[in-house]
Amino acid sequence: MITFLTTVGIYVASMLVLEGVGWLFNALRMNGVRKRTEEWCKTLPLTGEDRRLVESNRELMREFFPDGIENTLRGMPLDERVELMKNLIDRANSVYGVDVSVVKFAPASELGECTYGQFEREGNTVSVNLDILASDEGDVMRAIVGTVFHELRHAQQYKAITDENYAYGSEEQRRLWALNFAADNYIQPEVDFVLYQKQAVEADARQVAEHIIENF
Amino acid sequence: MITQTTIVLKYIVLRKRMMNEPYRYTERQVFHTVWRLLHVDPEIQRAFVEWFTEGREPRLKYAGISYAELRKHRKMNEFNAFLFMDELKRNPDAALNMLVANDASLTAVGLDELRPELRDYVARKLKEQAADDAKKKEEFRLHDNGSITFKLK
Repeated sequence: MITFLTTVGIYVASMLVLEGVGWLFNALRMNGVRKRTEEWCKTLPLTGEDRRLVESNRELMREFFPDGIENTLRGMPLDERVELMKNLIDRANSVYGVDVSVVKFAPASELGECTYGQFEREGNTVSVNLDILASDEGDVMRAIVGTVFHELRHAQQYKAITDENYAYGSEEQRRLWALNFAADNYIQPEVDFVLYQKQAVEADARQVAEHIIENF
Repeated sequence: MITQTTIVLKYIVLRKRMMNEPYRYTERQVFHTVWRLLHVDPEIQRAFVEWFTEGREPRLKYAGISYAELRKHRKMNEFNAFLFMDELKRNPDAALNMLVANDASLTAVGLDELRPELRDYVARKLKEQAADDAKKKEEFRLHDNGSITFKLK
């Protein structure tokens, strides 16, 4: 009887250990899977090169918005805002070293009500939402100026991963951007707005733009 | 969790619905969304299951933003709105910040367009991702052709 119970006990203990090991193995494996799922949903810190880019653009900001964004834009007619933004984009284009060749100001009906701006790789075009540019709300005015630097950063990301002669970007940055832009990896805002914002290329562009317009 | 099981059981129907109008998701987008829904907060998962199975409009509201507002003012589709409600509940400040300024989506870059030194790296990573997707599907027994299997113990 004792032998029988011992045998059963050993058998049950062995099964529990095996189950436990199996569970642990699977948990570790799925943990790795989950970590890799978010591999391109991370924000790399700014490099020294990025900081120099930010500072050069902040010099532009001091030139275009000496009294701050709100004080400069508030009450300004739309046509003057368009002219100012066009010149800002033109100058920032050179600072970034990218090849934006067209600047477009389009209504919300074309871009989308909540879309402040857009970079189109095919035509090397930066678009700005005209209806949002017309706003006199402080946060909106700041955000639309930030959009310029955000879109140009996208132009820079693309160039960094496709143009062999373009020296910008660390190896880590280029790999992350290349992976994020790979087919089906780029998360569309219409599908998952949260991860769209968190993915590397968007988080990076937002980070750079925020540093450029900070305190303006 | 019963709602997770419900979502897994409904995968075939979910997949069909998401790949048709008005959503027109790709296979990968379907899988991405279902995988995310399987990991959202239980309250939101329950609301999602009730919406999908019974057509009940959720009355979710976090950080002052409701599901209905996301649908109406941000034009989010239902699946997207549920995912965003999850972020509003978990990280309200970050989620509210996300709503401030947006740009339009970008286009993908093909392997052949990349700088040569990046091609091998990306190709290797895409293979790893495909293997990871297979493992995820194995975890929840999801299959591309819509079939679902359960291992009998």
